[in-house]
Amino acid sequence: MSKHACELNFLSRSDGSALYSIGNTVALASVNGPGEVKKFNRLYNRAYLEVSYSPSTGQSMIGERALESVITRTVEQVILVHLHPRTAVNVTIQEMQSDGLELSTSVNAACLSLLDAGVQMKSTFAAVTCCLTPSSTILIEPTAAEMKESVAVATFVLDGQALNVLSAHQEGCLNAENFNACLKACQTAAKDVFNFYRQALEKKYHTCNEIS
Amino acid sequence: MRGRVNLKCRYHKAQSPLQQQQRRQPNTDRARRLHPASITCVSNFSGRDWDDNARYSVRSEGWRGRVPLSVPDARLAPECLAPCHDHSVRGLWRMMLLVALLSPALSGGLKILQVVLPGDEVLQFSPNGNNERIILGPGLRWHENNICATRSGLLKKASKNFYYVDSHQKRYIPHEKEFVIGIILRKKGDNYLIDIGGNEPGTISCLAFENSSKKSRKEMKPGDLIFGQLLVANRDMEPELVCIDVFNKTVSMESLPDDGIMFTVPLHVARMIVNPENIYLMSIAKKINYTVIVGFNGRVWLKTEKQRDMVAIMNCIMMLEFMSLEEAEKNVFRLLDSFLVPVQH
Repeated sequence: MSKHACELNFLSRSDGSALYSIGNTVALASVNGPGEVKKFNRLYNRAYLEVSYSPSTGQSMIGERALESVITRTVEQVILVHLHPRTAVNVTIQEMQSDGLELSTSVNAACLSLLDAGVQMKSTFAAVTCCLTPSSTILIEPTAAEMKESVAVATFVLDGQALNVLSAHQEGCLNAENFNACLKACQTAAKDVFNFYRQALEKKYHTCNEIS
Repeated sequence: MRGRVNLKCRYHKAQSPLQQQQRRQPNTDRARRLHPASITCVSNFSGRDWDDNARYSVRSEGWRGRVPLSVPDARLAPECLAPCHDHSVRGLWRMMLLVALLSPALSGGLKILQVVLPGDEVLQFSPNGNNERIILGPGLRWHENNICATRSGLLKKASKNFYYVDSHQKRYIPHEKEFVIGIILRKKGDNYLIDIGGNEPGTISCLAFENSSKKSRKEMKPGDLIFGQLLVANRDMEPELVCIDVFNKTVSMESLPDDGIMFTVPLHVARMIVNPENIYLMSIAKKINYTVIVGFNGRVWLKTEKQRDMVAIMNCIMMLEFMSLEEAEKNVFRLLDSFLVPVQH
């Protein structure tokens, strides 16, 4: 499994931000909210969630919009939107470096930045990518080269409490047995990601520990 | 005159001493009698946590009284000092002593339990007829007989059944009875629109100042700073401020004079410096005389005689964002000295 690293509160002007990397893929996420919302997007009973994703090179096109919609639908399940009616939560994700793991790095960076901003959530969430090689081995968090050689790539976003699947994104040909095997492998790997979140936040709160 | 009478009724309803007494704060009247304008209720910074599919609601109470989170028993918390210090810090010492005398004996004190993430289960609690009560502060919600955290932060326990999560946040979410510093955006009919840092601007009536009536109003221009208390602030309504308290007297200050500076700090820093047990502001006062007003929306207004001192104190307060209190106390004098070194020409 590749190395995870993160830095919280990276940007001084956002409500919460996180610079997060898995291996060689790096993403920067920033959260602003719950704040002002345009009249067009205002919802009377809940917060409006907007995710915007920018790739490191080139213009953002359909592929990036697809990524944004996956991230939006995942995050909406987790934030307690009914606590903040008529507001907007804006999550902006900038891809700094890409080595194939854009979806999982972006999702994890978004989670850490939401934790940093203090937006109220039901639970944390983590994305894990795995791929199935032609020799039927499951590799967790593969590099771009390994993904090219693989038969199928699957990303699961799992919830922090019961490791339920919040969203799943899969490309390639997987039969049911292999799909379940990938899911189990990702659930095991997700526990490490959640421990990593916990360590990052403990570090944040212990450096500025108040006496009171 | 009619406008004046309505005003009294309206504001009395929200904050009548009788209502507050019913909320079991036996020390309230005594505190108010001794320092009528200077000890006022500081904060109630928890919202209600609703389950989004709820047919019922579980109300998590905030606590009135000291925001500084060292209240041993929320129900008996005395009204706290107003976050306004004056040049001679003697007034503040008097208030602190008074508050120390009024507070009941510490029973257990404040305990920091652990760092929690959203979704972490804190306790199991199912309401049965045992008359057991658990008071949930900000950051916790009750869902399917579990009490879980909704924010990341330090889980703290203030008395035997009072839990909350103390998180480091920058974004302000308005709550009733909090004191905030607002910036006037524009005049809208009989009200002013004020930016308090939340998702929408709040309003303040032109009559909500001391000594103002329909004939003689307080005129303010856009960009002025105002220090007031939130009368109405919940997730469904536009926030409303007032600058007077129950007795129609001004609550320490209304519009702040022009020659100070205002800066923003994260919310936990603002709460930390207002804590009467925290001597940080007092140790700065040993070197420089200054006036400071702290709003719970993270805005701090500062005034001293010299500009250099203002910048020095501003940096001292902003340091608290990144350092723990002990470290900051050690460094504060070094920082102040470096600013106060006279400029060589």
